[in-house]
Amino acid sequence: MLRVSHDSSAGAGAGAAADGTAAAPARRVPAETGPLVAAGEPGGAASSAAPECAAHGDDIALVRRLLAGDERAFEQLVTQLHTPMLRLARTLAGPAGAQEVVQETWAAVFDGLVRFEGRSALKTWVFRILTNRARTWGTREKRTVPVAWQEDGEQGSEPAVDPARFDGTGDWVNPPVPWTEQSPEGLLLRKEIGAVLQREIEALVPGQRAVVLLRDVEGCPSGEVCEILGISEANQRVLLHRGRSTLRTALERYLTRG
Amino acid sequence: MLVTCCQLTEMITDRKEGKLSSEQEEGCARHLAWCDRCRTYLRQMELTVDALRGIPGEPLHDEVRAALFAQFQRRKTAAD
Ligand SMILES: [Zn+2]
Repeated sequence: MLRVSHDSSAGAGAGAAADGTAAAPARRVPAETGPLVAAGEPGGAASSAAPECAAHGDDIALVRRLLAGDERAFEQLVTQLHTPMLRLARTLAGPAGAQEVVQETWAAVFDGLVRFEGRSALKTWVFRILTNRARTWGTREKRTVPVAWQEDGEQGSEPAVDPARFDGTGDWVNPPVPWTEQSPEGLLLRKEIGAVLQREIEALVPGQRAVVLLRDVEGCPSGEVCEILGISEANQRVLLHRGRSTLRTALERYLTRG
Repeated sequence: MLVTCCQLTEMITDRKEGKLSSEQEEGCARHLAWCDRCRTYLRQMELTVDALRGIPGEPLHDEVRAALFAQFQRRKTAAD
């Protein structure tokens, strides 16, 4: 019987991470494979959070098939998650550590599947494991995994739009030009836009990159993103705003280039 | 609440996330009703978010897939 050594911090306080309150501490380290249930909440599936459980019914079904050794279920799992995992791992551990972190995450996922209860999406559950693996990797390699999102530069003062584009009263002097006027319908679905965005995401500071990846590329809900990254809801919103604003500017530059 | 164009560009995400006070919300709505420039800006933010949703990942290589499957099998066997 193989057992991955879990982060010591993921033990006792494991259950308390899931209540989604904005007042939760910012640096909380979420449990790896602990059940996503608030402390004291009855564990029975029927007793609480029924809508949420129903929402992840597909994930529970998938996990059951995985545990039964279904190869197609395995295909589905890795096809769906490996690339997003690599993207997030690169953000957390850089190109140097990404492979290793993903590798270790898969090991922990395979070992922990029996404990998946569908309290969050399977994707979220896996990303949370990955975040913890990245932190462990950072400690081991004596590198700072950029989980200190608050230190991602001067987020508070960095504006969404270059201040030079407004006059003294806050009105546009250099307003945005509608993209649709210069471009056919569906332009944003074009492959090159995807490539531009991919490049620009890589250029974001790690905190913004992680939040944009999880929220906008992967479509994880806000509460789950906070939990995965161990950040407060307010901080997440700032990072999301900065990230999106920077990417809009990048697209604007690309679409209106000479 | 009076909202300038500059302020509006900073309130867009909070608005989408439903985090504005009713005063702020009302100020934004009133501003957007008369300012087509900010409507354009808002639209571009929305288009950006939409485009992010469709970003493709790199394809998974067969060797990686095979290695993962072997790992999965080993873990499973060990656990049984
Ligand atoms: Zn305006």
